Amino acid sequence: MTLLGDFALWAAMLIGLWTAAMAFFVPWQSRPALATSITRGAHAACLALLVAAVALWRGLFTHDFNIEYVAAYTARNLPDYYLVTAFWAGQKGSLLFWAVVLSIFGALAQLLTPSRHRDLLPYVAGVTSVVLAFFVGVMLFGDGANPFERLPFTPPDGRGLNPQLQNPGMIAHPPTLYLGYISITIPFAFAIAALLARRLDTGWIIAMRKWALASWLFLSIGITIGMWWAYIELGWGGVWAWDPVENASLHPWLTLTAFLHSVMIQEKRGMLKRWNVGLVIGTFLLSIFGTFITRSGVIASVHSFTQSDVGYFFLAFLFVTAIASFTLLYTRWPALAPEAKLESMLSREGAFLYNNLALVGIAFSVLWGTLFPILSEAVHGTKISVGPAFFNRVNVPLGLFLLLLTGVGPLIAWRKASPANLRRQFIAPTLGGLVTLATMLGFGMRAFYPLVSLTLTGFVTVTVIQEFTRGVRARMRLHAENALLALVHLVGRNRRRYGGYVVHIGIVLYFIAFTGMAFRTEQTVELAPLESATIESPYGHTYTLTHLGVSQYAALNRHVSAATLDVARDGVRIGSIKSEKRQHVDSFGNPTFEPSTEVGIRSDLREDLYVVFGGTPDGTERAQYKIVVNPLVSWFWIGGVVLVIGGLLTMWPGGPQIRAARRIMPQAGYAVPLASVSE
Amino acid sequence: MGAEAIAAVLVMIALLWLIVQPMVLPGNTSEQPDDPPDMEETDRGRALLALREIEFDQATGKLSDDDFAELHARYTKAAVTAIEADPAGVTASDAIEGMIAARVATISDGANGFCEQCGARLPADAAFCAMCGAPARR
Repeated sequence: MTLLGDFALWAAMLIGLWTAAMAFFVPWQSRPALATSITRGAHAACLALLVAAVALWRGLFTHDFNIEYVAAYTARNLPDYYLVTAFWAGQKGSLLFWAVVLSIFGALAQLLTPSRHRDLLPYVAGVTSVVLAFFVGVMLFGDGANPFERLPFTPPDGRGLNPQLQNPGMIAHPPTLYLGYISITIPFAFAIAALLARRLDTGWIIAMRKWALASWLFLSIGITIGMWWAYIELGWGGVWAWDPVENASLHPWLTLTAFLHSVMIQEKRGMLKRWNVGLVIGTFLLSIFGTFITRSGVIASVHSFTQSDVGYFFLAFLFVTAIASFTLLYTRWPALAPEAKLESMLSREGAFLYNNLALVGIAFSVLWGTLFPILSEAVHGTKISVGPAFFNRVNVPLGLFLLLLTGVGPLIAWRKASPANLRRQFIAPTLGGLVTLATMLGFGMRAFYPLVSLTLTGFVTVTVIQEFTRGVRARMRLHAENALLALVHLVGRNRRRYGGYVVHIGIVLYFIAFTGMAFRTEQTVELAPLESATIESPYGHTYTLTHLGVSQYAALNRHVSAATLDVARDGVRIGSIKSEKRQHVDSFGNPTFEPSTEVGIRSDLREDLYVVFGGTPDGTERAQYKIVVNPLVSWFWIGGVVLVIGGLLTMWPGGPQIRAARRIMPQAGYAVPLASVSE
Repeated sequence: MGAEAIAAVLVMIALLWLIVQPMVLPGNTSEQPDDPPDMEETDRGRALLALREIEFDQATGKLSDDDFAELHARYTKAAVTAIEADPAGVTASDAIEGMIAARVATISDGANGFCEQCGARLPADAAFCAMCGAPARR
């Protein structure tokens, strides 16, 4: 199927180039047939790339080891579900995966956009086609980037999948993160289309709003699952290490979060138009930058693909796109003038401005820290990496400021607020924060940042509760509804607002979990059978871990050494915990890859007991362990679920917008002019 | 190899047809009527949404009476201006809202009153009580 796959790639690239050329260089505005043909280009490219995807999957499932990619990332003893994920396990496959998903999004954007925005759609097709042609072009012209490349011989078995990728987290983490990265192309395409078509009213914002929310949601899910994967698979006991590739996923998330807030100011007040276009362009460029970091190998990372020249294609694309996009923005600058002025900094708009500054400030600091090795090499000739200390020192205060704004923003009315009303709004949340502070002080907590963080989580939580209760009460008064009905209507008719508040609760839970990480305790021990080690939990418990022994056995595609510890808390046995060293083998029993580690975790809502089996000194029954107590880690995953629920609530179709739109549909019968009705 | 080549040719024909069909058979690309805009996409809709939001902000205690009165008057005027500028886009239910807005706009700087139903203070230009929804009578 490599012939068909290759053909499909060439077809997709030529269709992309044709669509882009027609969209940008041929006047289609007065030729509806041509405009339709251009938008059909997006569907045709999608069809071609789906054929390419089927061709690669067929190679993977039939173990066609003559295809270099299949031989490099799969083996006969690899479970079938990892044959699915092997599609995006390597550089070449992930490039194809990116192109396929982008083509699907490009086609969906054409199908789902309301017809009143049809004058934007050929331009949207043009932009998505340029990006698509670039990705396919990288596969066709990049050095060793074609997933259908054949070997001069057929090996009897493949090399197999990297053990760290043989994990359920890796089934979901890369696709969701990619979905986030890739779907950013659609808001970007609408922004460029609006600039080209000079349709700079609110229309393009409304056309792409759900795409931006979807990108944000995918990125959030991808980042959270990535944290989970790093926690259970990499064995260093944490969820976030400020690794360049982790940072690269955070950049677009931060700027997109800023956009989702600032876009509300444009919708309501016609302000910040330039800023919003700039944020969308910046977010897209950061997503390409993330791809460059991951694929170029210029910065060392646990996540990187093999170093190759493919990254430099992305660097060139990044520069060209940045220059073209910002030049276009500059030429439309006067048309993007604000329609209103900020009436008062003491307003929701004011809070959102500060929120944007904090988010972009964090994005910039993370970008600076990520790029520092490259910059230091350019200036001093030596690569100097900045560690977590730099990122934490800069971003912890900014993050806490952001958390404060998460609580402050909802308390302030749009447009303006009076100090007396503000005081009344702030009483309960402030009390919530102070009670949390007093409670933590009572428990003996003295560390500054954790105290500030938990105080603010109390403040924000009460803010959200107050928003819901006051909203429900207002509806009960205004519409004579009972509390439950009022809540349902309140949320149902203001999904973006109240879905956003649920997201805020998810963010609060992340902060609680991050705060817990400040209290992690860790020790490394070597134990003989039935020898014990103890470790103190921040809650004052003492865990006693007794080494029971190491068992060795063969599993599906690996040899396993499993070390088991008996666990007691404050002298009471609570169970056992097992950590493994795995040596993966091919179907002939030959070792493949370095040995990998499966951590053992006992988890509850308060803390995780996390054990990493380091190995056995030669010829002994002794075992080396890293034992970690991680407080509050479960709240990352709960926060992630809450955040997704909030995001889905925000995106859920329906609500007053649709009803309002239906209401002004052309009606049957007769229309009475307003003047005569008024009389 | 032969089957693959045939499949490639079939795919190529399908792709070409997809792109070329609107131009060779333009009759099939009939123009659909535009679907109606969202409220945020019209001046009238934006003003009415702002009014709803202002009333909700007052009902939840975020806006003082003075700020409410000022903002309500400003956005009522904006709604009326938008409706007058585009009367063709107004349908029956919008007309009712517009009528309300027009009536509100014609009320001059009268003294503040109180709602007969719940007793809440009413701004000078309120047509309805923001607390209980009862019509304002003066």
